[in-house]
Amino acid sequence: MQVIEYSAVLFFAVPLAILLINILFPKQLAEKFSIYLAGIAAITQIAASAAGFLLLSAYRLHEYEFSFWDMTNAGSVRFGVNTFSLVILFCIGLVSLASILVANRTVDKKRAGYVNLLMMLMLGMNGMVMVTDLFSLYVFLEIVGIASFVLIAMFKSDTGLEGAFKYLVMSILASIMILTGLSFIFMQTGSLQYAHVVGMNLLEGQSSPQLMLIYAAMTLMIAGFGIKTGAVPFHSWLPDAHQSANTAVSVLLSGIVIKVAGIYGFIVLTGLFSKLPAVNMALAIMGTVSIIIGALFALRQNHFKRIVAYSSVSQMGYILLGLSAGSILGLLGAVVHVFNHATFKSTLFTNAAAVHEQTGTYDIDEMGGLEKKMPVTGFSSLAAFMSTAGIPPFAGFWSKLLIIMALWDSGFQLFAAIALFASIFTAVYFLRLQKKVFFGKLLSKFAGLTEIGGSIKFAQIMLTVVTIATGLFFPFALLYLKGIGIL
Amino acid sequence: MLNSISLFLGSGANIIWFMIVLPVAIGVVLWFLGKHYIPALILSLVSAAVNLLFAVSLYRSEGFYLVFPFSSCGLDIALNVYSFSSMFLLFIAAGFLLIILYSVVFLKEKNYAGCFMLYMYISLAMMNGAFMSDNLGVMLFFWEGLLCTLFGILLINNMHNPKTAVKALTLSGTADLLLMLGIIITAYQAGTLYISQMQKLPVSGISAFGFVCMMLGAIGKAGSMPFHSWIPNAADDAPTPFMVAFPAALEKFLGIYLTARIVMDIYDLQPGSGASIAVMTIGTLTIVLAVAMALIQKDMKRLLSYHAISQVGYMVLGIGTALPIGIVGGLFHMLNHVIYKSCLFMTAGSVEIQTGTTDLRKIGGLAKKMPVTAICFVISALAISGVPPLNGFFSKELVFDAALESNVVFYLGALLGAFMTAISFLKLGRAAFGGEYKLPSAKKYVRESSAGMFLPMGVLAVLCVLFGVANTLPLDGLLCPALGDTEVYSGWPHSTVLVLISIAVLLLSLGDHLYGSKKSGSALDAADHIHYAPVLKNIYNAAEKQLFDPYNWLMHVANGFSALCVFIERCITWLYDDGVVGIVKGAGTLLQRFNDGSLSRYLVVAITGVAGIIVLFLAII
Amino acid sequence: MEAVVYICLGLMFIFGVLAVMFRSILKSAIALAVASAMLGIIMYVLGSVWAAIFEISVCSGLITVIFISAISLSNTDKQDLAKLYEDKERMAFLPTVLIISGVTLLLVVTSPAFSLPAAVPVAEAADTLRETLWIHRQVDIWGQAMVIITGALTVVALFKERE
Repeated sequence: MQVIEYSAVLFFAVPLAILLINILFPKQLAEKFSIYLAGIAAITQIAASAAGFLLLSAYRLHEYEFSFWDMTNAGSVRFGVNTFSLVILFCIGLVSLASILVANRTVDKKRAGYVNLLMMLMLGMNGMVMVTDLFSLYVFLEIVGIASFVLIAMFKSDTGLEGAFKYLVMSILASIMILTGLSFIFMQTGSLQYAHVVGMNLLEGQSSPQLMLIYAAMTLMIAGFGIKTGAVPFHSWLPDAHQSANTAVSVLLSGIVIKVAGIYGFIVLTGLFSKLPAVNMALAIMGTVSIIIGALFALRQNHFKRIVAYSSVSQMGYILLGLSAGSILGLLGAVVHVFNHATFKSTLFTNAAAVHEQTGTYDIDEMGGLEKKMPVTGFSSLAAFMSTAGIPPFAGFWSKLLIIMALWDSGFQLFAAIALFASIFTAVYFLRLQKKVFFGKLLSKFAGLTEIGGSIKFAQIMLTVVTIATGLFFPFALLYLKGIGIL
Repeated sequence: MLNSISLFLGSGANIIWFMIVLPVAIGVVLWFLGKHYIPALILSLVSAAVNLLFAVSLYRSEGFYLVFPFSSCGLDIALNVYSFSSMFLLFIAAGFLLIILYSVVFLKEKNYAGCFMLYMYISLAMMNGAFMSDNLGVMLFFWEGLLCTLFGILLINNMHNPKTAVKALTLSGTADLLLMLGIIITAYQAGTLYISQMQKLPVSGISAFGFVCMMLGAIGKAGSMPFHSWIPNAADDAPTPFMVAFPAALEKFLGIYLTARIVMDIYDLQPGSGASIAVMTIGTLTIVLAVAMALIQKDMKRLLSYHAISQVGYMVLGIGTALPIGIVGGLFHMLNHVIYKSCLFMTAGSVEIQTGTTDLRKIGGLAKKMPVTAICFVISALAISGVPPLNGFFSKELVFDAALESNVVFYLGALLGAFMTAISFLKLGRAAFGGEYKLPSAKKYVRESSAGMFLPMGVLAVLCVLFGVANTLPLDGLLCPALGDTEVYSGWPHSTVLVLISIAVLLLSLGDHLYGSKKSGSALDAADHIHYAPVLKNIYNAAEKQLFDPYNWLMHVANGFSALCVFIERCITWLYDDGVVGIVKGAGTLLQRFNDGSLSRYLVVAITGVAGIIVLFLAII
Repeated sequence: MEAVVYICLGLMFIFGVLAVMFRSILKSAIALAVASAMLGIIMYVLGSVWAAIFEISVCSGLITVIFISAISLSNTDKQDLAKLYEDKERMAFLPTVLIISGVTLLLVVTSPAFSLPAAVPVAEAADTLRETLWIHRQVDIWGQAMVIITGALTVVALFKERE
């Protein structure tokens, strides 16, 4: 048992240690080597989460709770990991690694600053995933929020500042909403620990005003996490922020931050309040609207990163739909889609970075036929697109399938049909992107273009391999999950 | 020996090997032989004779029932050889022998001889299969096989102008589709596909629809209206042996066989019922309309082809009465029709071979140069006109009898048909073989056709006389035992009044012909006074322009339908190409315009979202 | 105490509206911070001490500091930035939003099923402040420390270039 605990401790200890080293080192040295330290942190995180996963299954456990200090006191706050949260921890490591690889090319100055904030971001996200108390969740959410918008703003482009500002305002709105919602729940329960909240039957024996209060709390928290997720109609900040940030940061934001800050909140919420049908219905409607509106937006954009950012809005809709099913199958579908989205969205942002590094532009109207000159970028982008669109046997197909199956089983047939139909939109806007950027005739000004090299190329290959491998081996993963009794 | 052959055929799968596979194999060999005349002649004659031998032995045997479970889904190959079907096997084998002899001789030195033979033998195999099938689904397979060979033969000579072939395929195909629909309904209603297991279904409700569909399919194959209009076109385009084989003989056998089975075994058709009246109406209309068209034709083959349609009407009329006498009459008329119509087409082919044309305006007085052909023609023409004591007279009298018993209108229609038939053959005979000796300008002389051609003609002419004079032979010897009918129809017709009326009609037609030829001054134009009569003139003009051709109607409907489809397709294309794209793009643009980067607007949207969630919660509570 | 709640609610509303209405981002940010602070006070008065502390310290305190510094760091002319956000629509939208939310609130409050919940004295459950902080909310304290470290890092990151 102790081994698991050690691997879990790593999630906090490593980012803190790297941060400490980074601060203590001389400035010049830190600028030079901090990026490698960050890489070590990300790899450690990947290894630790994988090890944790294996250990859990070795001990035939679904979850494991621990505390750093006093376990004996009943009221003390604990941390916990379970199978699903380990998948998300793995995603955090993977996307951070991708971001670091991209940053190696795109971030010239302020490397140390970037690494420091990345470490805090990782710490915050790890904390969010591992705490077992709603208020602690909120505290770590704040860390994630602050680290994110400073990461957007710190490179000091005008648009970056604007995006950061928009994010900041919306984020504060979200914080206030979540906090208010939490306080409402606290009024009813007197405790915010997951175990206590889920143990209390909030609906039975409550007078009507108290029920009103719970519903108000739900409304506020859904809206708050909705803002963090970037779901329609709370999406407006997302494209601005994700587009304007440095691409290395975009990878982080789109790849993992919106999922941990938003979707993980919803995972907790649906886990705790699964008895309220209105919660599921709200998530389902929000998800459906996000899928369609996000896709429509993506269809009309000309900025590479903006298309990909709107695609995130659309894909978050699928995850919300999966959660709205309220079944273990839906949760699985959502978590797998979180993983898949983390890989293919990181791939696409990495592609954007590669294209921008080589051509100097993000405008897809100014590109064309790049596939001939940049085969690795072209192929990885194609694989990511196919996965996003849910084309078998790519990874995205399986998660969408699980989500749609879960919706169907839960009686949301209409939403399942819409989700299925809206996949066409996904294909359309990414096909448009692919066509304009990678296919077609090579423009004469790109005659001397070369393939991106170095860390970005490595990131592309790594992520594409993960995408394809996930798709190919997913049936085995399902069998495994069935074997350990989760499905 | 016949017994041992029938025993051999009835054991194991031999019946399939020798009655179905063997003809196909011989057809393939003949195909390879191609233009080699002597071996092809010998092989085809021998094989046709062997087939006849098999058929005779099967006819003489007591019959048998075999099921070959070669396939699943209720489509077992079930073969039922019993008196009625083996009689048809006999007919087809006998007819085939004569036709094949004629065809080989006619097609001597022709490039497409081998191919034609292949199709002929495949047709034989299909016919054999269709007659023996007990399973309606399997029968449909053989039936459609015949449609394929029909299409193939029509294509042989007209690869570059397949209009006739397409027309035949479309019309016969439509008829076959109806048949298929009818079979499906029938099988559904009866609960089985095996004819032998079917109780006679009453003709009412859904079954009535099934009956009509099957009936239309069956008589459509025989060439009845409204699936007839390709036959005159084929007379223009197709080789003459085709006309001898298909419209005159094979398709009549097959179509009338199924018509008879429908009336006798599958459906319980009551005399005088609505369905019976409907079938009889189709028959009468076919008789009158087709013969009216025959009247004005100036081409020998074309004229005969209209008669091939018209005569089907008698058979349909006879069987449609659902009276025993009518059924016997219809079947007897079918047999007779095959005999004299094949003979007539053969004489037309003979004339065509010698003079190079069948256009009556270019030929005349051929009797002196081609006496055998002329004699055969006269005998068979008299037979088709219904002159006693030839075979056509007796079968027509039986049909008349049955028609009169049902309704006098049908009788009068049939009489009108007989009247015009006589007129047209008087005209045809006198124009082609009598009168002034005339040849196309390219030809200097003519002589009698070879023995290979007039042998089958002669045999058929003799049969015309024989089946008339000794009509007990086919009626009591073949048909009644096969039908299990004990009543005696042979001998002189029992109603003298009807015979007298028929003879009066014949005399009337002779008078009309003489009047017409005197008025117009030539035998060929003897029917012009009918052709150009005040009202009829317009109708004939319209008919000549093919305004009454159901195929053209079908094509108009098809064109309209395809135009509709094109329109729908365009609409859908527009929907996909412009509509949906426009809507999606428009929605995207609209959203994009709304989402203009203003933070306050973002906040407004977000707060609206919160309000939306509140409303949702309130609604669900 | 109720009077304090209502006053603060009113102030929060006013500053919230002002935050949307101000053309200058700086003023807008400050207005938002004040609104946030008012919310903190309400929470405190109603007995939710910890929520109030975090609301004030994080939302109206730290975050406001960060983004005011972000604004001040921006090289864009403030007038331009103000012009950037000068749009007429918000004047059109704001009343609509206010009316909608007002009506919604009215619906909720006037519905027969609703009455203000009695304030539950939560603090009774906890023995002492110290015990609460160090046993029950241990993680949050550490988390809070992290938030402050992050804040410090962000200030460093944002100000570094100035030096």
